[in-house]
Amino acid sequence: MEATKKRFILKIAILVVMLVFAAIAGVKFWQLRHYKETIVLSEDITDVKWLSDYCPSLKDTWLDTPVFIADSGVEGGTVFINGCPHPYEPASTMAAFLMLENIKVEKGKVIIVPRANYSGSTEGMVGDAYPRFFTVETQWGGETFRIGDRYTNPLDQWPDPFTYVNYPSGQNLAYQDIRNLNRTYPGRENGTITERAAYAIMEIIRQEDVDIAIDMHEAEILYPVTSTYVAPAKVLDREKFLETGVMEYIEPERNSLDVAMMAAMNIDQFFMKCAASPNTLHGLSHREWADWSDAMTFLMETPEIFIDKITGPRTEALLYEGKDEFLQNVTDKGLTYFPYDMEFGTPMWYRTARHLSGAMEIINWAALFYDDVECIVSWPLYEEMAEIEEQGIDSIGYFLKNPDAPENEANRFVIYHKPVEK
Amino acid sequence: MSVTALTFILLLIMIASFVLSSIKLKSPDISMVVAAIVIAVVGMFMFPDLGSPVMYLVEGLFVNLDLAMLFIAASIFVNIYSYSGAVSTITRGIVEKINNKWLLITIMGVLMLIPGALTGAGSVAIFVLGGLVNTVLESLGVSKRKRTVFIFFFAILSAAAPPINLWTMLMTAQANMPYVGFTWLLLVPICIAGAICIVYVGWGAKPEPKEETLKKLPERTEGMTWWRILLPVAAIIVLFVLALVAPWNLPVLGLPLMFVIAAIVALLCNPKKTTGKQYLGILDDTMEQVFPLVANVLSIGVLQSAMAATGVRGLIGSTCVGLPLVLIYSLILIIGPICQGCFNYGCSVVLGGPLIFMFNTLGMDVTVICAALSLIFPIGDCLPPSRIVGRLACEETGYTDSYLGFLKSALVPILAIGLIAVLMIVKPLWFTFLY
Amino acid sequence: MVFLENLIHILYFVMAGLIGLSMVKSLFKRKKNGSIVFDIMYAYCLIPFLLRVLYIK
Repeated sequence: MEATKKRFILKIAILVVMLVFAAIAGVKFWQLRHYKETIVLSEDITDVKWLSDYCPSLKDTWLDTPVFIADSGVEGGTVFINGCPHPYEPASTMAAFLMLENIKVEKGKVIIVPRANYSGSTEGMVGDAYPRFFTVETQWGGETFRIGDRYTNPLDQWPDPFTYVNYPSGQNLAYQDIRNLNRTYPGRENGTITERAAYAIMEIIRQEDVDIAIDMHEAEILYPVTSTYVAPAKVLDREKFLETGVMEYIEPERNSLDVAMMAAMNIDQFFMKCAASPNTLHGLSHREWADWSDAMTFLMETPEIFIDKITGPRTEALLYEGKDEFLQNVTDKGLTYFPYDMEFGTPMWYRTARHLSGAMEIINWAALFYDDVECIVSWPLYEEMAEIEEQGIDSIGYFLKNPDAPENEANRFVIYHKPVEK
Repeated sequence: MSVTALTFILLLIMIASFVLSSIKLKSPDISMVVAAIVIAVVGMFMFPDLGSPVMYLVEGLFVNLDLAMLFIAASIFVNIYSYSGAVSTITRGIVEKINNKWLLITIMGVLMLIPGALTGAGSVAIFVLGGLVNTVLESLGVSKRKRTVFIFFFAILSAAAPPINLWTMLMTAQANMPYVGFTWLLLVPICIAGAICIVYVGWGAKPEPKEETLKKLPERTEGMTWWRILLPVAAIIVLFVLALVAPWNLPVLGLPLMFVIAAIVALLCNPKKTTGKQYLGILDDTMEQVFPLVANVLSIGVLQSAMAATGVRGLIGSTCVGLPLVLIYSLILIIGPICQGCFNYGCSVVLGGPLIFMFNTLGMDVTVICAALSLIFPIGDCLPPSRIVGRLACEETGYTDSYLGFLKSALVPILAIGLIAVLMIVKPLWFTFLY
Repeated sequence: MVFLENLIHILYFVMAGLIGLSMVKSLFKRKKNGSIVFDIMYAYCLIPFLLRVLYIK
């Protein structure tokens, strides 16, 4: 009897210990899920819409997210910039935040979604030991931002199928890609929550008559398409497909690949190449945006070594500085697609700056090719940021504005999946 | 000290703590968690920037949560289905009607390929058909060890078989390749290796007299009819096929719910009078029966997470992909399965992806190489620390002798598929006619 | 379809909850694997089901 009682107490003790661990981790998970980033919008942001304005069933879900519009009021091209389609590629979000805080538009209209998969930003990459946050040094101390997952959080979309079939191509993809925003385009209005978010983004492009659509990503340096613009040379013959179900590719009215090639050639501050979007690979933005809208579409990849699974210890410093011995060894053996040097690494400012300048090159070159899509816009660029870095100042922090400063109160905006009262 | 040296020390500590813990606690599952905690704590001192490991260790428990739920749901289905007497009735029917040993083994092999081919999970093949195949092979006089080999081998083949091969899907997703052209590239080697396995297992087996076998089998359940037998299986097949052919007209059910639905159908088709309390008893027993496997897949996630956080995963991955080509050719049959044993499907990302990129740089046909790697990785499902499919096969046949003995017996069919795959990697152009 | 997706989503949380409850029960009372090692395993395997049901992770 005594032994049974002792054993019972022991079981209770074991359970309590495990519950304590669960609680410690649970608090951290909860903090990540509910952390709200605050930015200070540029005076040129004229309107804020929500993804649910383009797909109403997203309202009150964690896939709803703000859509910022900077309209110059002068007729010109419309540019759409998609940040954070994969939240575990944080330079994409940082570039979108820096655009939102510093944008000036003189001609045309710019639409920016800084956290396209909001749900995915509320959890880390399971099994990959990602840090939850990173802090950018600023003049007022530091601003903390979130790193997320590649996929929509299972709290918002569960279960996965045993294989994912992309709509409408019918292409089979790995099961978890059903929660991957950049595999679910063009999306479905009544599909899974991620497919609905993809549909809403397509609707932004269609309803707002977007001319230039840019999707910002990061890629591992073991991946050939790192440091690259991806753009389609041909687009789907939509009418034929809708009539016959046959996928045939035709010359587009405006060629994105030509624009991307000129932009890549013109960039001399950093290494950037260009690749044609394959016709046979479906669900990705550069393919489906072009196939299901009239916009010229571009995907940009920066080199982000944290995504390479074969790094050393996964610290915040590795994510922010990108200095890794293992990847240097692999690069020395000629196996990477980026001239990696761990002395310099792949710092966050560098990747963010690449996106800022990469997008600007596209906008400028598109206007040179097709003058009706001209959009005159400005935000911080690579050269300025590199100069600031040379002075030992964090260039991202330099261009961020203090959300707690009284002069910024009117333009303060809390990024969340629903509007937050000021 | 360099990061390479420090992570190498961590790797040694991890192996030592896993081995010691396995000896002391006699459970590979908890030993994986012990090893994960040890390297996480030591890693925290080696790399102070890593901070507290509690979060990523707990996060590791979520890596295979869906897989754990699948195992539970599939076990519930199988146990309710078996309880109804359906499995024993089918087995009696097969034994009574088919007299040819080779035909019977071949039918068992082909049947086993189907569930895994449709779901991508070898474990599902064992859950659905393992018991039936075991009984039939036993009646054919196949030894327990060879029965285990047969069930294990066809389970991994079924996981690798098209249309759903998760390793290929994960690698193609990483490499931005379309998941197209793999059907024959996977199916032909699988058929060759499957045939070799059938001959290997059936060779020398002496079927016992039919009457003897029938005596051993449970009596036909009263009231059991063919539609009661077929309906639960038909339900799961229909759900699988619908999910593939009409994915946009059906909500995503997920495998666990599919098995729960099939279990409900099996329950409705059960001719025995069964009380709610008896069903609760079945559920209770099922949970206890499947728990070691659930603990196994959850624990491997914790170890994976700790290996990723501390850089041990990086050390293994970067060392493997950095090997000279000749060494990769010679060692892939060892490295690939070991990596699968450590990372499960994660090996296609840690090792498969980088290898695909490397072969692509060399201008080789990566579609063939991707298929070949997808045939090599599943072999590791019999290797520790996870050994998920190997363990399931042992449990299904009740094999309790030396695990090493089972591995040695499995070597013949494993080498068959392995060598074909290596040939595909070394000479991919020879196989391009298959797609 | 959206309604059905939401319903299935909730069903999965219910399933996770039932599995969690069953694990708590097995921690205290079970027929097989009675050692303390299994007590520990039952306790830590409960964590992901618990955190999922609580809508935390």
